[in-house]
Amino acid sequence: MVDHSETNDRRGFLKEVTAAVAAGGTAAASSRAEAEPPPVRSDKFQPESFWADRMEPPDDGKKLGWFIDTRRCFGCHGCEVSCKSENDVPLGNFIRQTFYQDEGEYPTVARMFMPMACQHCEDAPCIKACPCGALHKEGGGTVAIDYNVCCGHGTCVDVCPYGAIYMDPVAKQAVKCHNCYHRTELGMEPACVPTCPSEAIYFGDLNDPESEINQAMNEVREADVELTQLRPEKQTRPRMWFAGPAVEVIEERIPREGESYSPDAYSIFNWKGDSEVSS
Amino acid sequence: MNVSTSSRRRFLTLGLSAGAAFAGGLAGCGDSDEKPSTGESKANEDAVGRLPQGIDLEKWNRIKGTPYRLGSFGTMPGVCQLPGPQAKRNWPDRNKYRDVEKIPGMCQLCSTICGIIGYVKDGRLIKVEGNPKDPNSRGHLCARGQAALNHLYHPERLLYPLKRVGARGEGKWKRISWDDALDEIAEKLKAVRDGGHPEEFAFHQGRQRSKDALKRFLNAYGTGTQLSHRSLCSGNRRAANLTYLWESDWDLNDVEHSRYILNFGSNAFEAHQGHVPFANRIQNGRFRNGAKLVTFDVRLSNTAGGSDEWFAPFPGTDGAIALAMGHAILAENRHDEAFLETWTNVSVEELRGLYKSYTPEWAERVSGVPAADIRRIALEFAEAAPAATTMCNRGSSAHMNGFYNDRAINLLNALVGSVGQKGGWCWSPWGGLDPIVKTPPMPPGAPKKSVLEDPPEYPLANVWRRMRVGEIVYLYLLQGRAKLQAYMTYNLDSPLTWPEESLTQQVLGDEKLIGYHVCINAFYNETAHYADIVLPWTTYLERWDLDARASYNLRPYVGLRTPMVESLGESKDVREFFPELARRIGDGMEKWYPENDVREYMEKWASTVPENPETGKQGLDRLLDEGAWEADREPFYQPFLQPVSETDMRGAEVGEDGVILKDGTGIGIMLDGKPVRGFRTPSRKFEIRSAFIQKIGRNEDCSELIARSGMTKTKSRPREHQGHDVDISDMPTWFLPREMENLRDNELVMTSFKWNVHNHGRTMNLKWLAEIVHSNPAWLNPVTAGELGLSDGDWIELTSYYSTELEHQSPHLKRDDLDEVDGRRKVSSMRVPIVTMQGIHPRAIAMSNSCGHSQYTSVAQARRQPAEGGHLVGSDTGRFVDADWERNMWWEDTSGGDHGAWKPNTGNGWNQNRLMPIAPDPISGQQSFHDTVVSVRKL
Repeated sequence: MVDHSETNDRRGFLKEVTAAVAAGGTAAASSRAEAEPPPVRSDKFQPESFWADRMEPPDDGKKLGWFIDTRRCFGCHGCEVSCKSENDVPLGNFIRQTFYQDEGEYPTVARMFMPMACQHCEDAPCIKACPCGALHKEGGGTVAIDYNVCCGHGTCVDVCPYGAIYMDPVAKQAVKCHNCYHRTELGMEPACVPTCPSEAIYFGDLNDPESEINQAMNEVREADVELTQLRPEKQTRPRMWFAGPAVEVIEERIPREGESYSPDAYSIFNWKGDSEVSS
Repeated sequence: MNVSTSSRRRFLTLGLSAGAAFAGGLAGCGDSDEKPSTGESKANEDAVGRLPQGIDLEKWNRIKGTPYRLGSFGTMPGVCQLPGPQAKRNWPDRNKYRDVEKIPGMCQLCSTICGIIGYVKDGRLIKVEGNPKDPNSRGHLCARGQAALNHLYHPERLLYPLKRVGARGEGKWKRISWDDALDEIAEKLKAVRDGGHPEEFAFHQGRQRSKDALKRFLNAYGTGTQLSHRSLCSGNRRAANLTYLWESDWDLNDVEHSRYILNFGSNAFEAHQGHVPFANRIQNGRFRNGAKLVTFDVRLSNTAGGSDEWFAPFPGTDGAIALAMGHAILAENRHDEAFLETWTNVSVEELRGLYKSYTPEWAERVSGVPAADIRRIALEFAEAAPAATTMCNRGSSAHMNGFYNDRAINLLNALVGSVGQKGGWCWSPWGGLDPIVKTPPMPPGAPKKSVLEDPPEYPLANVWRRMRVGEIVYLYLLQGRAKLQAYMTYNLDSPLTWPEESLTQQVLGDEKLIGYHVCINAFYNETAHYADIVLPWTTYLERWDLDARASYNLRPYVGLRTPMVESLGESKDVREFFPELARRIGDGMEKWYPENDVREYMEKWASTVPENPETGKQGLDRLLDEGAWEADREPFYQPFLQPVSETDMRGAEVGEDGVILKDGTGIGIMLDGKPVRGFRTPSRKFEIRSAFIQKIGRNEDCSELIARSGMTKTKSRPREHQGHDVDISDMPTWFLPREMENLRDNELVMTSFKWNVHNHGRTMNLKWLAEIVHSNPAWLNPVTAGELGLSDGDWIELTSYYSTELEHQSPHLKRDDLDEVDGRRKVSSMRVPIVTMQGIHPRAIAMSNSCGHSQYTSVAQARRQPAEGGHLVGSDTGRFVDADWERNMWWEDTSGGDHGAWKPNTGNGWNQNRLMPIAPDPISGQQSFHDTVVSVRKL
């Protein structure tokens, strides 16, 4: 391997950037924690008796999860468009969205990519908040919506810490990633997974030691690269893990409670860093 | 779900709003939505102890949107009719992929041609994915490929033949039948043919993947005026590869097995003709093999942004840096002495002489990249060899000095001995289909050539292969250097993609210059706008081809395109109507079409594909089943060491230089007393010094040299180029175009680029791609912006200038039509906004080249409603209604041209080719897309 110690090496530069963000972030988070209510919007939750059953997935022995290697992702949007195509997602709305962020000052600049979708939390706030009981779990822990029930309260959007849910503009029902269970039940992969030219997205059964996702995560661990999660302070136990500095650098821009993925993320004025222009 | 009556009553009484159902960020919905009221719900919670629950049908009926209006075709992609509490349907549909047909195909939304699988149900294509059996792309598919459904099912797709009824370019049309269209076209073409100048019928292709079908028709007709866009793309890159190898114009970098990948100007993560197969292997090389990726690029592309190191050279100095790297490698004796002495046609001493003055300090002066880094990277590269490779593309080659840039870059591989090595710089003799498949007999090539296809001024344009010089076609017509009685365009968008938009439009619109124009396209694009007849072409999902690309497995393969659904409307492929046109033209053309239908032709063509022992399927049947077949061959590593067989050696003569000739043709070279293949060049070596190109430049006869190479396609034609000598250096060198020497304070070098969701001219009509990128503000370094008094988002006037270098080197272009302004010839001006980016060289300004359509459907024009005009006469907008586009499109520019009112990221951008001058590299004819000097004026 090449020695990067005295170089213009962006791997090294990115380590510095993320350390700075983490240091700043931790400080902010702890001060926020003291001043504000609990990390999730529990003020909007239903009583536990109402959602306890729906929080329990049917027992098929599977534990479905995601691993996104942001070091590999180069932001081709293939996963996003595949998802749009698979699910007829309306323009202006997104089940999956990849965020870009430029970091650094000329000539030491890097571009990072952060693919985002529903985190399929084990302790899903959307399930707890859904007033009509549409949100539930499918086999393997997939958090899904029953469209025979959902009538558009939108409280799920209010409480999702990751902005992963949108309200369909015509049907006025909640939509989010459903792990393509209609495909996985037939032995296919979710639409975003096989298409990725960079092999950055992994999905599968964490209970299966031979699964590709476990293999990929083990490879990363063996390379001494940290596996992280997004907004762990929310304590929702998301089923998505990441590798790479993009998570920390881009975290700030990812939508939160009360928000959904928006077209604004694609505007170059928003992801280039240091913008004087908003769009 | 049971809800107690009392709670529902309470819920209705309190009239709770839908909370944050209509969150910020959802633009363009158009319905009146209730606003979030967190405070109110908290108050209610306090009042009742818990939130209301259950299905509130009354509320849902109030808030749900107006149902989508559908055409007779039904739902289009993107129109999702979620069930709603009363509908009792399932979503996502668990039956979606049951009883579905999987049909193989090959994408054509860029030039990479990834294998795909189409999922078809009840005659409708419902999803497209990558085909895991494609040996090159291995099942992956980019955003473009995933937008296939937008391409197939588009409300403004061209479905019926059209005939012009107004003046050319007026946009007035009427529908005609195929029968009438073919009759008229046959009559016109027959007249041209009978008049004795068949070469005055030109066929001009954009992206084509049916080479056999086009060649068959045009050769049978007898016209050699087969124009292309190759010189706008890869002319210099190919010429540089051919100079070293002769055998191949395409380097295939074995990156999956590399330890070091040195990238000059290639954006493989977003574009590059090898895009998905290449990018996938680059990432595997890095993350499984520990390869380091270093990128030199004027702009921070996604490739540069994701690399391990990025350097921004001054535009066009890649070659200087590469030469300096060679100098550093030799200075430290890190070169591969054995390879250089054995396998190149120069000695190490000669190379030291060549590199002597190209020091890293010199390169720092011209490029701005620190000498210490140049040296360090060079030595890292050498250390990793032989599993080290360069990669380059238009970033380094689409310059006036691009041929030399790429020669300097590729030479690094020879220096470190990674040529043909695993993990190194490789190539293959099969540029596409495995030679096992052969088309039915083809008519011989047409003898009569046109200056449009074979301009005498560009020595390397057509010498090894016919690359032609596409960008001078309209200029030469305007200058009266050729005449066109008939012109047929095929998947071409020249007013958008050719340099000098206004000149292109002027020529296309002039019936005296182009007598008759037939446009073949799946959509009404800018080229169709200037046609006399427009023929509705099928998409790549509705037609047949055998197809393949140069594979990174270093083995050839065969892929299949087959109709996945019935062609929409009256769209037809050339394979369907060329035979019919040939029959109507007659006079012997028809005899080249003996088959009854396209399938019969395809069966003949694919008949030699061997049987799969597991399925028993063979030929076309096997391809229909699997989509692709890859030969079981050894990867093409170190082909120069392959032994020459005893059979081949019989009757051969060995010269003093060790070259083995048989009947005057080279077949190998002696190596340590044994006959081996060597390189397929005249010297049988990697030709660092190329006497050949120097002679070709001076129009000296080279037939003997060519014979020794055995490369029969290479032609020596000194008569054709008589009077047009070009000084081509036999050794790699470098020069700076003279206009770069003294840039004024407000002058920058304009560069161009592609986005990962677009190809150059054909994807902006695809809504899922246009949603992500539809606008192209100019990238400007913030320090430069500050110096020019500009802030992020400001509007500027860009003025472009013709190259002073070309004025000197190519006087035949005679651009005195361009006004002289302050010592430069002005090409054009255009007003655009800027975006200040850290990721761009301070002396450069970058605009992407896919924006600014004036036609090509409402999507490409970023209009919610179609523009006025007759361009929809050939579409069926009653049947195919995209309600999603009509309702949810959010990026329309409502500023009406008022810059102050322009909302960033709205509108459809600006056509960079309005500014881009016609600028062919004098050696190969490559269009210099990245050298344009522009001046900036704040508005």
